[in-house]
Amino acid sequence: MADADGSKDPMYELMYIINPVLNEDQTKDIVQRVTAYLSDNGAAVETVEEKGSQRLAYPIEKKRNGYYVTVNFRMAQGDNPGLLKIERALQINDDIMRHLVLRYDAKMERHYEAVKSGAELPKIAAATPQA
Amino acid sequence: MAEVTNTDADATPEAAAPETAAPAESGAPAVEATQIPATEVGTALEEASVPTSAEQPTAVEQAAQQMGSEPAPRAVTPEVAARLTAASNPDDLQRIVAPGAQRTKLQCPFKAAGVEYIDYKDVETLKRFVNEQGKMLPRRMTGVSAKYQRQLTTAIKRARHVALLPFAADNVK
Repeated sequence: MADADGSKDPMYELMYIINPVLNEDQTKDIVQRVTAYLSDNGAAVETVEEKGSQRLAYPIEKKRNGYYVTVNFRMAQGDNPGLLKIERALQINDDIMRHLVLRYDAKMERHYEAVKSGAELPKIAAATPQA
Repeated sequence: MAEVTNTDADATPEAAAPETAAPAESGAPAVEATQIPATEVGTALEEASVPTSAEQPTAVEQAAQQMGSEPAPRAVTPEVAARLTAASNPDDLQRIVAPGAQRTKLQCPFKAAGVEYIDYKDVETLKRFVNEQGKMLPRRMTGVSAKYQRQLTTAIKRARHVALLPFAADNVK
């Protein structure tokens, strides 16, 4: 459902962390299943980026590492049960330790485009004290 | 014999010290007074008042260096101490440590860099605005403008949720 002025559906970003104990095939399987589930529920998946296994800042479910995946998709905004279903499924899945869904505003979308195009992002000057 | 001259020599540099230090910093005389007797008592015995004038610039410099490299002996809260170890700019130290010190205006690092959106995935940037414990630093220390501090807080909280940043660092063992 596009907006009245013909603009596209809003962009969403989903980041989730998969249990690191699973082997490669199982991890791949989960990524595929999540992506398929998104598509089934009215999301147009644009990019799936697997950041791979990273060390967690604090242990989750007694695990020190996690397999990070970020998905960007477009989805009709408003009264649709798709996102609720997706979030519920992510919550229930025991192999997904954490997830975070954001809807982009204009700023974030510009940022996303900049990152995708590989443009040089503005860096903060080194003058600020560093830990 | 030796005792008498020793006290004499002790007295002269100490008397000279406050005069030289007066134009410098308020913290300087104390440092200088302790330094000169300790190191220069032996030589000062023979060289009388001439060497003290020769020593003055170096002593002042040393004092100035100490001021720069170390915090002034004031009540230092843990937060400030953490900041002090983190910061390397002596100007920063002066500003933080001295209660009545003049405020130097900080520039918002995000505005200066032209950042539009603070990404929660950009952990390296976020880490600069968090202390060693993982607590967010106040704006008065980082100079971030209110507009960006609002963005920063949400970014840090999102990063914490997905375990990119700690809620509390476990460096206290």
